[in-house]
Amino acid sequence: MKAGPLQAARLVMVRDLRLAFRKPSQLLQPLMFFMIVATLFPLTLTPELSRLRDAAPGVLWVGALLSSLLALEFLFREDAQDGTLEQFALSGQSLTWMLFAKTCVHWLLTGLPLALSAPVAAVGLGVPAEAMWSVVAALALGGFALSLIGAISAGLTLGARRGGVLLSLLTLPLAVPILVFGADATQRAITGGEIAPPMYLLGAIAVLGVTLAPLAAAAAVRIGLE
Amino acid sequence: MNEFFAMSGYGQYVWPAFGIGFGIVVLIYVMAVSSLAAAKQEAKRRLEMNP
Amino acid sequence: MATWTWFHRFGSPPWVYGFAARWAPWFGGAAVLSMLIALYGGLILAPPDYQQKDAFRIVYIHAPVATMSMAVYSTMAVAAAVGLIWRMKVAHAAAAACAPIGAWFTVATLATGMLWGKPMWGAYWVWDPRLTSELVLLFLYFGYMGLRAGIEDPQKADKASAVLAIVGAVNIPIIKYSVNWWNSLHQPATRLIGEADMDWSMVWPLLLMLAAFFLYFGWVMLIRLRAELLRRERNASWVREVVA
Repeated sequence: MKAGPLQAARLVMVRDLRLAFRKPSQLLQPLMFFMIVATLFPLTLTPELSRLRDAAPGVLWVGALLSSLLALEFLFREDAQDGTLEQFALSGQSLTWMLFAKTCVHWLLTGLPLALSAPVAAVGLGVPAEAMWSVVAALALGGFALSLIGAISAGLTLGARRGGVLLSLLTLPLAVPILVFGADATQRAITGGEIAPPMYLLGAIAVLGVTLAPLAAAAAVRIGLE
Repeated sequence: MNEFFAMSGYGQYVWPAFGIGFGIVVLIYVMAVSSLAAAKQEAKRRLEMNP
Repeated sequence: MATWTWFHRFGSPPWVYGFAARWAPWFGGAAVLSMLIALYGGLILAPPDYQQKDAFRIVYIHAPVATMSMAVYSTMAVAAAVGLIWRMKVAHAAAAACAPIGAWFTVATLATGMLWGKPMWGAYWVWDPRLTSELVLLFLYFGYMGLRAGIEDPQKADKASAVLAIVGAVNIPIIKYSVNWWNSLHQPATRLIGEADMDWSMVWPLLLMLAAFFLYFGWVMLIRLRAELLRRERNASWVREVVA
């Protein structure tokens, strides 16, 4: 009985999660990086909370993007090196679904924890308590979209020299809409405005990403593995 | 004639704009031609090395 | 079938090389002639604008290079898709040839736009949707060229950059329609034909200049394409014959 794509995806997800939890210190690295970045701004800009509040959306989102990029490197690298990715591609199962599973794990381990711990950084940036839920929600949704987009560039740079820098360079232009709308949602949350419009747009980008990004990532990985 | 160059006071923007714009146009052409010349050179050299 | 023969010819590097060599000068001549006529029409014949006075004349360089920055990317993405789907080497070569041309057009768009923005809006740069997405287009071009340069195997480089070109194509409609979707400082599209917003004496030089730039793109693209083909097919016998 041949397993379907959903079962293959679930197996990949379980495997990735299990492997990730064997090295818990590696899990914390992107989170630590985010916290450090968020701390650098008060240290270098100003300690005044009222002024930091203006910069808070930018700091949070740039920090989230940078730590996401850091973690993306590991999305495919180890599996590509030890041949697991090749096995996935040759298995006759849907590579698209398997990569989608890997992307979801990446978000569960990076984007989601980052979003949930963002209030800690946000407090230090003068973000009011009433805004916290919206901040978390926006970063969670945007982080998911970022993981999806990042999977494409991670796949494209599999065979490239100095892939790390190139990966960031490729992800940035595609990530701009996510940053723009995400920061807008965060800004509106801080000033007490209506966050629905940018959140809907973030959601639309995420849906578009879910339908198209794994396909593109699978194409990219197949090219890189040839 | 002076009016033409002054461009009703906007001369300092209009002329550099055209300058940079058409300058880049010329640059693109020059780069294309030189890349073709280099490719031909390279091919000629290879031909000489393995006749 | 006649159509298939025609299509198949475009799959043959030596045939395309010959085609490019033969037609490039015609594109070039037509382009230069049209540009000169359009320049005369735009700089001298057209009357000054009611609001912008003579500053509006920047449109005759800004609008064409802006259009080309997007048109070249679209051409590149289509060529990349053709190369990916039908596995045509020539299509991949064409995509590679387009990239530097498009990148420079984007630089020209940003530069001429800044010189137009300063007198009109008071600022060289504003972070409005159209300018920002045009800047993103420049980053996309750099990413494309960087990816090509970063992958050693030429076929992998072709295919990977093709995927990138196609994924990035989503930016083109964003640039074009951003002025309609958002409140933007950048002016929305002006109707040129039919119920025109501008006087015909101002419109025809712009239309001619746009056509001239498309011809110019054909010209330089065909030159670059020949260089690409020579480099890619370096071991082929037709290359030896061409160069000897």
